[in-house]
Amino acid sequence: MNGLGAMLRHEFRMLLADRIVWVVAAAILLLTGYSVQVGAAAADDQRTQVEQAADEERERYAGLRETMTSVHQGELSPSPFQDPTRPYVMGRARGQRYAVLPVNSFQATAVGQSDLIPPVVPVLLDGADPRGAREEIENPVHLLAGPLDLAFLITFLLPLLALAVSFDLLSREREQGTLALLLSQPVSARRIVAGKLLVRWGLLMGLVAVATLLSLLLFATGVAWQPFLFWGVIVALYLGFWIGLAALVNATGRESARNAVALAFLWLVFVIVIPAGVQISAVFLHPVPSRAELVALEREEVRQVQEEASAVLAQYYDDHPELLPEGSVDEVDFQTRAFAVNQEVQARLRPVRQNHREALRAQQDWIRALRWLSPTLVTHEALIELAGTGDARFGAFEEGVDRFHREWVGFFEPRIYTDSRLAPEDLDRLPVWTFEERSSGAAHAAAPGILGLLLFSALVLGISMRFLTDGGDRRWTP
Amino acid sequence: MFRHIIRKEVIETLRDGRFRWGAALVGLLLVLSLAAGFAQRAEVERAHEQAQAMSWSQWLDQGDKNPHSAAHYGIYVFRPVSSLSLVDRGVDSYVGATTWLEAHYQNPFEHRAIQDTPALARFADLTAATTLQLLVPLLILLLAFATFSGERERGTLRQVLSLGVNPRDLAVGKALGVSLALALLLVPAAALGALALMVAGPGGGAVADEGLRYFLLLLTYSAYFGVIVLLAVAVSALAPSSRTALALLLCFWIVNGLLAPRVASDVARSQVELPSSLEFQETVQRDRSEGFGEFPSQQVRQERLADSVLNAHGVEELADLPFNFAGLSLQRSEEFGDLVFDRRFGDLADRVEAQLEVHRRIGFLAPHLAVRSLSMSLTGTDPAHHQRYAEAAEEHRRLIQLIMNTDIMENSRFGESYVAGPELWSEVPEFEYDGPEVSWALAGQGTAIAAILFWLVLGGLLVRVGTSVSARRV
Repeated sequence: MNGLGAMLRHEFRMLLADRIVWVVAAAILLLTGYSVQVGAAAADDQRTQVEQAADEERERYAGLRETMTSVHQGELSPSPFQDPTRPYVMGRARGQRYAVLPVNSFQATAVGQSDLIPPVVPVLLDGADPRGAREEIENPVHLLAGPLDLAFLITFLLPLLALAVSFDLLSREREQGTLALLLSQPVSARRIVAGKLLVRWGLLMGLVAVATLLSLLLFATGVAWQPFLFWGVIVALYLGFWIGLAALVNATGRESARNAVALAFLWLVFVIVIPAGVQISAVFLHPVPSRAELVALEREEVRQVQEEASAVLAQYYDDHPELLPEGSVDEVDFQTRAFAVNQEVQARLRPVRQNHREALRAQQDWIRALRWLSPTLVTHEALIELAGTGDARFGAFEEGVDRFHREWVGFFEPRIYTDSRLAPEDLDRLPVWTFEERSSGAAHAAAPGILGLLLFSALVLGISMRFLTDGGDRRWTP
Repeated sequence: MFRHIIRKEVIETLRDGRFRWGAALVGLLLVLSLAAGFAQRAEVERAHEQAQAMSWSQWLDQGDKNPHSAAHYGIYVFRPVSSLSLVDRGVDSYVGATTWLEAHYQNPFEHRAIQDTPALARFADLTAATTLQLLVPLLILLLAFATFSGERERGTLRQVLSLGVNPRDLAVGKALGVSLALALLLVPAAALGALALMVAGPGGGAVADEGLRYFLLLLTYSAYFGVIVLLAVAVSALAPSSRTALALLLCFWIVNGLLAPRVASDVARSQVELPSSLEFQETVQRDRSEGFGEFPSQQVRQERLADSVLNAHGVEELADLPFNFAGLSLQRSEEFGDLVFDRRFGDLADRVEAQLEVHRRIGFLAPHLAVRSLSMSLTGTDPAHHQRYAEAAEEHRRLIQLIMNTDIMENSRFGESYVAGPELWSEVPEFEYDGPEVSWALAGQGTAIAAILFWLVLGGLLVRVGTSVSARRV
């Protein structure tokens, strides 16, 4: 295999003599550093928000403990609206707990949806909705433009950079008249192309990997090795696809300029047109109902339930006679009444909310199914899931918030209906928020993407290699 | 002569496979994105109008209660959708759709549509505007990068010039030829857009002057494509080879369309800071309770108000006043709140606008930013149009408070319980919004317009330089 080594060395030297290669290398280093900084800054913002929420909660709980102790010892008798020993007060704004989405260890590589979905969701008796929680203030034009993060660099720009160094892989040799010379050597056409591909792929991959590694070490909180390895495999395969595509176009034997145009069109198709088509079809086939309707509908339900409040309460105590405090249903505390009304409203809105969420999920599933149409879609999905800023992790967060909200209501419900009072010790019994990351997170996020990309790359490489043997020689030799 | 150059260029372009494929692709995308924009706009408009009507009838049917309770119940208003948003959705999905007009608080807009979308929507949200801003320029570059360099490489440039053709005429002819071929694609698309616009009808008064706005939008994009054509021809003339010309032009396209908008956000953010949501809420809260500048705290203000009213009417007790002091006190507290909101929300809006001005200035380096800003403004989908709507909604909120508090003042007694009914609720006029005229939209776009003109002149100059260099090289 001495011949191959010599060929690779030769090819590498040729590559280094090309000005475009140096421009591309500089662009990769510069943009990687920049984009990792952007991602790290976004992750830092999220970390700050999460910490601020935790601090606020801790301080508030310290205050509540004091107040509750004083109330219990009879030193303080706050108004019923302020009294934290009343479960209805504690379960709402005064005692609310935050469901927070912690920063993922690999988050600096992709901002994903993290600038849109608040990582801090207050959970209280009235409800908890990550997609409706308080939004961070941000210039909407910045949200629209999207960040220049590493995921954008990889999915959009890396293909263009790869094509810039490989669009004239063979055509240039022919135009310079060196191809005939090369083919007169005892090497097959396949081997020449394979060598050229390997050198270009190796150079770009090495640059991207080293630049990313260094940027993560310098600008972010360090490198999480497991996701980094999966990330490397995905980027390597995606890069392989594009360089393979360049080989395929070169194998058709046209001139360099034509190849460049053809590849630019292919880039357009895979990176812009197919994703846009998938997105438009998703919106068309699985429209998500507008939130506007939900807002108005909620008011409608509140009014109706309020009119039927007594009936709602009576029904509840009918089902749970053991909870009825002394006296009759008519004498029930107004807070119990308010709670019952709220629960009933939430119950009636649940189908609407469920509908909303299912529509969104159907949209996501449709997109996931169609992502196999373009390696860009596969890569984009895998990269943001690896970073923990994609639909899957936010979906898990949403489900976690739901679960925690149910626990929260479950804790207070019997205490409100029995009109009991909370003691300071009860603070330690309150449900506590935890978010469990999937243990096999990185592998789970990356595996399907890796398989898909493997298929894509094998396909283009296979076809281009066939082209080069099946009479291809005639097509592209002078 | 001139005619011949143009004719040759048009025919050559039309016969070119690149043009056919590219035009088919871009044409398809334009039709698709216009259709998607049309459908989405219609759906959002329907949902918003329905929700607003529902909220209004809820206000009217809220039953008998104290006017201040009614003020707390309030009304939800939903942003109308500009009919031109079928061309450019701008930030429509990225700003809240609704705000709650309630007593005491100016609430921020809530429910950004983008939160209810999968991650893909961020990078694949194709609108007619993105097709025009990104893909058409790419098509132009791919068509025009070899106009000069190709002829030189084939040796035909020398022949043509030997015929005595003025190289400048050749350049202008080539630029016009490419433009004409392009027009065959874009004029029908513009007509289709106009048709869609007419079918869509005026969008709930979100903007005025829709026809004029659309015309100026066409003008803006024409100017932008003109810039790209000129640049492509100039680079083709200046570059030593077609290969270099293509590389340079693609570099420009990447920097202009893909990198500049993102980097500009970071630059704008570093120049003008926005408060965090938490900070903003705390500042508003603090201003309201503790006062600011010459205005003392809430408590002091209330005491002073009581003293001055008692003095003016020469009575000892609030109950002896000829009107209900509670109503006056509520109204004064509202008016003070209004000062705080004007100051804080105004400051926030100014900061957002200052950031956007940074984007427009970067338009002198990357024309895409200038065109994007102008396009969003003309279609009424930029933050400024949204802010104007937010201010109108806030005015309406204040009107509701005034009507409720005046009623309390005039029709109830201090310290006694009081309820009003539907007659009072219907005294509040239904919220109607009149969208701004085109002159209002353009007033903030001076920098963007200047940037586009600058690029037109620059493109022209480059073509001039390029042609003389190219002629000398031959």
